[in-house]
Amino acid sequence: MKNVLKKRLPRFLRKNIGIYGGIALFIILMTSLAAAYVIGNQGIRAAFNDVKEENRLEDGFFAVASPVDAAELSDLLGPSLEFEYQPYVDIPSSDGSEVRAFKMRKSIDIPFVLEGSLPDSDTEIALDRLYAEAHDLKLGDHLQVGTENMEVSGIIGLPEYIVSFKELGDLLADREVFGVSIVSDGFFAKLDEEKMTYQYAYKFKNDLSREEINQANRDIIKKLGDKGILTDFCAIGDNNRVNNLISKLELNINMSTYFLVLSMVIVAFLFALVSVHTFEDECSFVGVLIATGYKKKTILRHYLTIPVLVTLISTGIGLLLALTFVYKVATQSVYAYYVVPKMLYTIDPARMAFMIGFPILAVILINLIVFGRKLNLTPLRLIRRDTKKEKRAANAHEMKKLGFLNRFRIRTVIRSKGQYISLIIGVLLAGLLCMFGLGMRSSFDRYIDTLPDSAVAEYQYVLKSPLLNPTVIPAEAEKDTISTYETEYNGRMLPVNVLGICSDSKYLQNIAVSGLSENEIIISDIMAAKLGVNKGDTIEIDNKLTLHKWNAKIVEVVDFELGVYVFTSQKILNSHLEKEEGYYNTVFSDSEISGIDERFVSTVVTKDKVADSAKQMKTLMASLIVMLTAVGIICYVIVMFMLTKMVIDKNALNISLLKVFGYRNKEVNKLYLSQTQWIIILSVIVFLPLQYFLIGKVWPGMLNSMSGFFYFRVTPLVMAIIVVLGTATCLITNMIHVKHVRKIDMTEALKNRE
Amino acid sequence: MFVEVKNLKKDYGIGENIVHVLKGLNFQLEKGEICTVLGPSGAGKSTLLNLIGGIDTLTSGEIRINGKKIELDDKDGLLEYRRDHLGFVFQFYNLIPDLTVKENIEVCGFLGKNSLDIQKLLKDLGLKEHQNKYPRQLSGGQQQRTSIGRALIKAPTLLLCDEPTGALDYDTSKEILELLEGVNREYNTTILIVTHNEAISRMSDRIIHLKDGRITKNEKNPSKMHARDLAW
Repeated sequence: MKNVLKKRLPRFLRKNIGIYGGIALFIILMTSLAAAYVIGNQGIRAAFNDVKEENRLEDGFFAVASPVDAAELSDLLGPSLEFEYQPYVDIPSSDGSEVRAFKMRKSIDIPFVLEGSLPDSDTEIALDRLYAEAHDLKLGDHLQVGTENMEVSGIIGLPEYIVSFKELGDLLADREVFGVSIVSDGFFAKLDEEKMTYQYAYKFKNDLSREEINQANRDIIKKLGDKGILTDFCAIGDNNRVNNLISKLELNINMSTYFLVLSMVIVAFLFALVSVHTFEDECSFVGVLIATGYKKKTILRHYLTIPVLVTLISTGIGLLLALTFVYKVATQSVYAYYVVPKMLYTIDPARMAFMIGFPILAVILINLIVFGRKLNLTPLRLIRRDTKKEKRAANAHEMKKLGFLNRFRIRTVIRSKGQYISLIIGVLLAGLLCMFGLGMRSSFDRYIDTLPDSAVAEYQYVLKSPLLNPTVIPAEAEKDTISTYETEYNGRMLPVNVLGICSDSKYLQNIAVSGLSENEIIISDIMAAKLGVNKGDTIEIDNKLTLHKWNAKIVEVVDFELGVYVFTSQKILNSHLEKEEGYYNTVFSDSEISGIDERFVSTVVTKDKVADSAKQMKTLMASLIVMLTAVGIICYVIVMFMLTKMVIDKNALNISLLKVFGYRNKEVNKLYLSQTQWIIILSVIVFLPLQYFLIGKVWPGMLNSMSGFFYFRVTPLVMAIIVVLGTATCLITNMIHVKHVRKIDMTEALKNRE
Repeated sequence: MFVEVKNLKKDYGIGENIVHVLKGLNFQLEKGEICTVLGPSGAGKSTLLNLIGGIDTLTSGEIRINGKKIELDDKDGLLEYRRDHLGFVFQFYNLIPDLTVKENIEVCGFLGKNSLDIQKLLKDLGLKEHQNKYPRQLSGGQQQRTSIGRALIKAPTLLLCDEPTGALDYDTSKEILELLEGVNREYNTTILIVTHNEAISRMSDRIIHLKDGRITKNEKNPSKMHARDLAW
């Protein structure tokens, strides 16, 4: 007997191919996309972690004014620290770009070789991959570096230059103009010492806690500072050349996980609809099976087979696509900007289990709930399709004032309210997916458009210390103090820029810091949105270098789109940083400051650079944005198609009955299809604000790994696209379904009407 | 003649699997006649009704209603034919569950050019007090009355009834038959009833026996009875 039921399965699948095909396509798309991004990004993270261990990524670096004797330095810094001398010289190349030449390293920041080998002779050079690609250099090619014609012996990456920012504070890494390299010790010895930066990389010998690391870093600065030789210092935690990658990878993983969760909710919802639809269709048959002596278990297994198979196969296909092909799309954008080793396939068991397990569990659970409960009804009730508790007492409201057509439509909607509610929920969920995809793009666009305008001045000079010759600073410029603090955010430390504004500020006069006490701060709206804090709240921020812990009350939130900023007066900040009055380390100016001593400048931020960095960020996210947009739209179309199909399928027999009576197709459309169309179109429009609100709520969580923040914004165009897509899908789907309904044989309709 | 059926044939399937369901039927009905088509299962009764009802295509032959040939290939023409001339009563009522009694009747009233007064019809059918109920709130007999009301509202010239009492108990069946008899009398509607139940044929003007796709007997009923006097 079981075999007979099994034989029915392929036919059942063929009959419902539209619905199961839709779900399968949906699952394949979602799983392949989400898994690809998770696998790709986690794979790169794993590869980077390997590099961190095996190539011994530094815990920080410092630079000194002149080379220090190793033993002397060792005595000064103590036995808990291991360091390696890693000087470099920036050498102009023949094409106008600059190559930073490092001498060979042995114990810290060991280069990873992607192709070829490290230089063996004084005429060889190993270049970082992206610089080589930007200059179309391959192994064996020659490059004029300074006066030497060097042969490219290797394509490499440096663990501390995952992104080759020339200056630490740079926002953009342009490989056309700057790259890093390793040269032989012999070649390095020939370089001009005057242009050399005497840099040391260090590693702590023991595992230290965050507090201990901060303390140790502070000690290094103090010891070298007291000697008067320190010119530069950066702990690895503050090194954007490395940290940038981690935040980008986590952003990608986060985004795809959110997308995956949302789509899994949709999958579960679709399965719930499909199983209700199946039960309604098969109710009599189920009754007959029970009456004939079939066990409920057997029947449940029968109805679970196809959904479980469809889910398993489509999840499998999705994962296979992700592992073989789609992951390349995900990793491509990372490889395009970061010099990282080849990704390592890593399977995160929890995420994989979720991706495979959730749809299967959802389909089993939902079917058990839908079928399990109804199977307890008597076979007779099932055969008669008497499965619902009807409220028998109430007569229908007469709706005297309405014409027949409107009454008909209203009655159909009321009677099929379950179906329509599902339809509306489906529109809401599918629309969320669509808005998520399209909104990502418009949010980035808006961010890029507005970011440069929100820059404080045309130029911002971040200084290592106040200038020896401050007279070069024009009168219109403003000297403030800036420092990086951090605060705990979702289990990690988030960098917070603290800006101490001078008393006669011209560029930031809207931020009223003059009346602030030591324990009061003003924060940027970006910070408020990111941390979910507001006026009146108290937050704690820590300075890693001074170890200053600052518990401060937020007295105001100001519009300031540049990032996560805390504002206080320069006087207060200087005192917290233990600096004398009049200390400053950043200068805002609307004109370029000529004659400034470069040695004191840590970085220069211009409006153009800000705009470029925003554009760069969009390029980095481009593949994810395109994928999310495309998948969002495709899934929206699939879900809408399936939902309208279910509504129309349910009414198919009534529609063909009307045809028997002599109704024209136009009239049938008026009676049965127009309200479905209007309900869909109306829901598409009405839900836009709700969808916008909901995504806005989860948006900060998605940007969790970013140190900055930007708002989720959809333009009227995006809204219009969603409405047009929804309407077009609904109309096209209706047309397809109407065609199908027209083909239903009228005699069949009569036969099946018991 | 109001209905003329000439050499009507209907085959299903193709090649070796062809089944000849109707093998050349010929009969005529006069305007206002009640005709019962009797026959065992598989005799071709429902197929005949579907062909006359214009919801299935014939293989060969001809059907004329009121002298006009039904062009079974012309979908629009068929639609107009069903719309203007026919009323259907089915064994299982085929009411639309979303609609009330009154609205179910209005479904066809909406189509009629000279639809009857619905309130009068509801009263005649004994459904006035049930007009705002949904089909599920009605008994089988009341549902069949609603189905008859739906067929009658557009004042059809030909009423096709497929086992109209097949799903009903004895008393209710008689009630429905009396109703059909009343409709025939009051509106002079020609009624074609397809049934297993030989007793029903006694209330009709003409009885056609169908067996294995052929008419075995076609006779005028010499002793037509009132529906209320029928017994089986």
